[in-house]
Amino acid sequence: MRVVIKPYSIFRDKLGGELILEFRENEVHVKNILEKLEMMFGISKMGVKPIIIVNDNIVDENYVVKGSCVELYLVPPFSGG
Amino acid sequence: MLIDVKILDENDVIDLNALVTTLSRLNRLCGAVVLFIGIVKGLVEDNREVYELEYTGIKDLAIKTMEKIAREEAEKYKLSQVTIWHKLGTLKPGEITLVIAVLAENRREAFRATQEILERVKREVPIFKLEKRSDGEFWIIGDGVRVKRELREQINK
Repeated sequence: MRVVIKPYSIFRDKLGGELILEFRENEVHVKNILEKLEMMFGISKMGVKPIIIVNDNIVDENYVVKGSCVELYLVPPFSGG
Repeated sequence: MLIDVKILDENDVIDLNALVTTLSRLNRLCGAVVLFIGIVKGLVEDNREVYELEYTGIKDLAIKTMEKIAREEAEKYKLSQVTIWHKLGTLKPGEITLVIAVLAENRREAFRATQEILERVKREVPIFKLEKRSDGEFWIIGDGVRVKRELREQINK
């Protein structure tokens, strides 16, 4: 499956823009996606806990992403207003 | 109950007089309009000068979330209308970033609802700020934590 990572704010700077991750399985835990991002970018060292949004919902690392292609937003705590 | 929620661009003109006039003529049972206007600060953290505030956001989800907030608060406080307009893009100090307007039967509900809507917008709507100021660029994380922006080459070293 393909997971399209859509980073915003400080995570966009870190990842450099949108990115596609490929997984052999057709479902994957958010935890595994974060581990892959950690290996590639060391996001835990940024000191900002990411918020993960899938299908318009905030999900935790135990959430299972399913399907052939899924969009996942990687964002910091919101700061509107 | 009427809901008026919009994400506006930096160049969109906000006509506050028209908004207040519309609200005040909408329902003869209502006696209170409360209007909150968020603007870009010109000075922050020990008088550091702000040149611009850049807003980005997940637009579709931002609109859905603002609609949800407006509906829930309108129901909770029996409001006649809730307006939430938020701008995205690059804004200068003094420019309007956010407008919340509430029409209610009484002032207490109107004030309470407006404050609650504001806090929820800040906490729940996926919008992000980059502060460009005299001593560099800072990402604003959550409610006021600032992280200095680094170039990508520096970040990945």
